[in-house]
Amino acid sequence: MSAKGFASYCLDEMKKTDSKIDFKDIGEFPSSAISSFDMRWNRTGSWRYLRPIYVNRTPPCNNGCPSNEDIEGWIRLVSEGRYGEALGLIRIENPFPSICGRVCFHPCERGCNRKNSGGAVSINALERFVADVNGIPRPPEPFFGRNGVRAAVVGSGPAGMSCAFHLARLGFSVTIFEKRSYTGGVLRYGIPSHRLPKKIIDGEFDCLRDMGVEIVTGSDAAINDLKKDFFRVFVAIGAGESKRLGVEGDDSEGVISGLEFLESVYKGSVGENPGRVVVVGGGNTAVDAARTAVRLGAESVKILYRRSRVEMPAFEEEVREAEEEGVELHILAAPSGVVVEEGARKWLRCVRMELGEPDSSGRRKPVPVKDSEFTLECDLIISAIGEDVMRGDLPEEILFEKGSVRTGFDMRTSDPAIFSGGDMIDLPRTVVDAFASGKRAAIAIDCDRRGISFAEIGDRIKGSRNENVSMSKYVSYLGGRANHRATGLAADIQDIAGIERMNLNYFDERQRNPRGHVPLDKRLGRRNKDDRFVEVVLPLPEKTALKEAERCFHCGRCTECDNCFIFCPDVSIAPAQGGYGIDYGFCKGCGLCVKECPRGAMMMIEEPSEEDL
Amino acid sequence: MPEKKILMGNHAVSYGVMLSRAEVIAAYPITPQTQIVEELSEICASGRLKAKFIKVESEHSAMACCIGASAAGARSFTATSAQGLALMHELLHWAGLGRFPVVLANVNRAMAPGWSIWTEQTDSLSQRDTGWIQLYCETNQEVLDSVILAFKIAERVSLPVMIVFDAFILSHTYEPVEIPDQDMIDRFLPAYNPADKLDIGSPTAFGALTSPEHNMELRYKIQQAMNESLGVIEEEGRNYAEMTGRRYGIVEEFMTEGADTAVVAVGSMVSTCRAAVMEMRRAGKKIGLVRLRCFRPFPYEVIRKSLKGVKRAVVFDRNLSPGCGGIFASEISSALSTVENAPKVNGVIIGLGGRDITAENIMEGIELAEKEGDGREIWVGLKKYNHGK
Repeated sequence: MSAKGFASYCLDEMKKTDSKIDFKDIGEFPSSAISSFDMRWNRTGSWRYLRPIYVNRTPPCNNGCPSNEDIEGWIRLVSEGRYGEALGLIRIENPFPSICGRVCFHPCERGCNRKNSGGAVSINALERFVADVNGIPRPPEPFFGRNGVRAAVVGSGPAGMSCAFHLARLGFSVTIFEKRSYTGGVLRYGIPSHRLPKKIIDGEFDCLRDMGVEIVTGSDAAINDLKKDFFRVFVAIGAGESKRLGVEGDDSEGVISGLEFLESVYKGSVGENPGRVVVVGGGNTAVDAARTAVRLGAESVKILYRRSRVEMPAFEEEVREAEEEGVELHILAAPSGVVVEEGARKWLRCVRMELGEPDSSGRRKPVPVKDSEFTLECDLIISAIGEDVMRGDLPEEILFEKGSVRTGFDMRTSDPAIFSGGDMIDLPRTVVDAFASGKRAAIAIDCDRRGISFAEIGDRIKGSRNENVSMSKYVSYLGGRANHRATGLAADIQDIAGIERMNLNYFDERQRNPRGHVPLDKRLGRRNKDDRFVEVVLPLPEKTALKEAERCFHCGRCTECDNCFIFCPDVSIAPAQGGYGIDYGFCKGCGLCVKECPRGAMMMIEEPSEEDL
Repeated sequence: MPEKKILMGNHAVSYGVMLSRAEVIAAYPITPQTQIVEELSEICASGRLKAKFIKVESEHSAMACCIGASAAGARSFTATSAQGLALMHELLHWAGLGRFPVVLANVNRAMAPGWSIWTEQTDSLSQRDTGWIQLYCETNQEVLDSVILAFKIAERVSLPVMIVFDAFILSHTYEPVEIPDQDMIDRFLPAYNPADKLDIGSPTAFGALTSPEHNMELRYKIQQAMNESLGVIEEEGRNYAEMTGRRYGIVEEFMTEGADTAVVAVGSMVSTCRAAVMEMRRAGKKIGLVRLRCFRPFPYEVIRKSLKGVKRAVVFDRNLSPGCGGIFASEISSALSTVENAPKVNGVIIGLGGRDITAENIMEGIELAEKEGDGREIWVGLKKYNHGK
C-alpha cells in the first residue's frame, strides 16, 4: 500500500470506528483510553523507517576454511547427535574430514569468536570425531547421476584425490594415474603414521574405488596421451624436488632430504637407530622427520632452524610434542657446511643467526652472527627446507610462473585441456588448500562439459572468501540440492559474523576441551616396540565431543533461541517454519530483536521503498 | 492471635505487600528504600509470595513493568525514593491517567542537590499532579496497614496509590508491628480481577490516540474517581478497623476541642507535634492538631470542617516549593479561601534535608506564627550566623 493509500485507509477505518462510538453520557465512557473495538486495523508498522530482517552471516570459522566447509552447520548437527548428516555436510565441500581432522592446520579456529571465552572451539578435533564416529567412509550419491564423460587425474595426492572425488560426484568417470606403486602421495609417504595412520588413507581410496574411480598405480602415462582419451586432465603431482642445503658438502653421503627420509621409512628401507640426527628446517616436514627419527631409536635428534621459535612454520603443537619426545631445538642457527672425514665421521658446521629487518615474507630476516661458528657431530643430516616443483616431463604447453604452474582462477593451465592444483600451483602448501584446489578444478571441468563459463558464474558460486568456491552453491546453481540442512527464512549476506556482531552477554565462559595424547613411554615404544607409530593424538570421546560442540556460538546463524520472539514489544515476531516470521504490519522497527540476537543473525535495513517492494 | 514483630518501616512495607499477595514486583534499588525490595526478593525466593520479581535497569522501567503487569490484570507493586521517583515521573502520569491500580511505596528523601539521603517531602509532593492517590504515614504499623489498604482502595477506584513515609525516621527505625493474619487479609482483599485488561482473545488498544472529542471526558472521570476515593478511603478504613482495631482515615483531629490554634502536620513529625500540643495544652494553651493523611485527593471538605472555628492554622511543611513556600500550607490556604471568617494560615518551613524536628521546634514555630504571622512563611531551625558581631 502506498503512503497515500495507507493514509486514506486509516481515515476510512477511523471513520468506521468513530461511527460505532456513540456515548450517550459520561458514564458510558471507559475508565481510561481503552479502545472499544479491535484495533488491529491500525497497522502501526507504518511508523517504521528501519526494519529487522533475518540474515545468515558467514561464521568466522567458515570464512577461515579454504575448503569452504559449513563448519557452523555441521557442528550444529553434531550437537544434535546427527553425526551422519554432519559428515554428509562436510563432504559436500571437503570429501576427507578423516584426513583434515588429523593434519589440517585449522585456520578455522583462528577467527573463532569463542577465543576469549575459554578458547576457540576445537573444530579440528570435532572434524576428526565426525569422521571417526561414522566409521569406514561410504560413497556418497552423485548429485545428478553419471554423465559418461571421462576425466583423468594425474597424481593421487590430496589435490588429485579431491578432484577425483568431486568429479565422480558430479557424474564423471574418473581414472587416477599414479606414478608410484602406492596411492596418496605426500599424505602417505610424507606424513608419518603417528599423525595420519595409513589405514585412514586406505579407507578413503577404497571409497573412491567404490565411487567408480579407477586407480592406476605405477603408471607412466604421458599427459599428452591422456588428452586423447579423456575430456580433461587434472595434473597434481606436487612439489617433489627437495631444496638442497646450498652449503659446501651438501651432496655428501648421509645428507638426505626430509621427504626422501620419510619415504624410505615408509618403504621400510631405513634401519633401526639412525644414530645422531640433525634435521635442518622449521616446517612440518622437519618436525615429522625428527619425530620419526626418534621413533627409530636415534641416539639424538636435533632440529636446526635459522629463525626463532615463533617463526617456525610447523604446528606449535607438533613442535611441543617433538620436544616432549626428546627432540632438541636449536633455533637461530643455520648450516654452513658439511665436513666428512675418512671413516665416515661427519660434522655439520653451523653458524649462529640473529634476526634483522623484516624480509618480503614479513618475517625478520636471519643474518649470521660474526665468528659464531660451531660444529655438530652427526651420523645423518636431514634437509627439510622446502621443495620445488619438478618440471620433469610435463608437456611444454604448460607454462610456469615463479616456479609454479601458471593457472587461472579456474585452475586451468596454459593448455586449455589441462588443469592443475595442489603444491604445483601458487597456493599455500597445505593439505586443505590442495583439497580446495581439486574441488575448484572439478567444478571448472564440469562447467566445460556443460558449456558454462566458470568465469561468469564465479561470483555466484564463490564461498565466503574470494579464493574459495562452494560446491553446495554450484549444485544449487545447477538446480540441484546439495545441502542437507533445511532452508531457513534468512537471507545470505556477504558479511562476516565477527565479534562486533555478537551479543556476548548471552554466552558464558567455557573452557576448550583438550585432546588427549598417547603417553610418552607408549608412543616411543618403551613398553612395546610396535606402538612406536601409533597415532599420538587420541580421538575425542563422544561425551567430550558433544560438550565441545555445545561451546559453538553459531555466529551469524539463527538457532531459534526465541530471544527475538521474547523481546519483541509489539508481539510482531512469531515462530515459523525454519525460523521466525516478522509481522511488518505491526513491527515498529525498534530494533530490540536485532540488539538482543545473541549471534548476529538479524540486522536492520532501511525500509524498502514501494518500488523495491 | 496475630503475630507481633519488631520491624523497620521498610520491612513493614514488605510484609504488607506479601500479605496483599502482589503478583508482580518490579523495582530498582535506591537508599533509603532498598530494604523493601530486598526483603521482598527474599520473600519471593523462599516461596512465601508467589510473585514475579522483575529486576529492572531503572525506576522508569520499574513503573513501566508495573503498568504492563497491571494492564494484564496482575496486582503490581514497586518502591522508590527521591531521584528514583522523579525518574518515574512520565510513567506516574501513565499509571494515573491510564487508571492502573499500582501501589508504590515512596520513602520521602530530599531531592538532590545537595546530595542527600535524608527525609523531606518534596519528592512525593512534586508528583501531586500525576493522578495518584497519596497517603502519608506516621508509624511503622500504619505503613504495613496502609499497603494493604492501598491495594484495596486502588482496585476499587482504578487509581494508583502512593504510600509515603519518612526516610530513616520510619524506614530504618524498628517498632513493634502487628502482622495481620493472612486469612483475614485474603477476605479483606480478594484477588484482583479487573473488567478491562489486556486479552489476546479480544485485543483492544490501551492508552492509544484519543482525540479532543473524547479526552476531556476521560479527565473528568478521573476527577470523579478521585472524589469518590475519599469516601472509599474512609469506608475501607472503617472496615479495616473492624478487623484490626486500627483505623486510618483522611484527616485525624487531635485535642482540637475548643482550640484557637490548630497545628497541621503530615508524616512522622505528627508524633512530635502530638508531644508539643500536649505540652502546650498542659501550659493552658488552647491548641490542637490536625493530621493530614491523605494529600491526593485533597480533602477540601474535611479540612474545612476540621479547621472550622480555629483562629489560626499553623501548617508545618517539611518541603519547599521554591518561590512559593510550603506546599501543604499553600493547599490548605486554598481550601479555606471560600470559608467565611476563615482561620489565618501560617506556613512553617521545617526539617528540610532531614534536619531533626523537635517538640521545641514545633512550639517555636507556633509562637513565631502568632507573633509575626503576616502571611509569609516562617523558617524554623534555620541557623543564624552572626559573623562575629
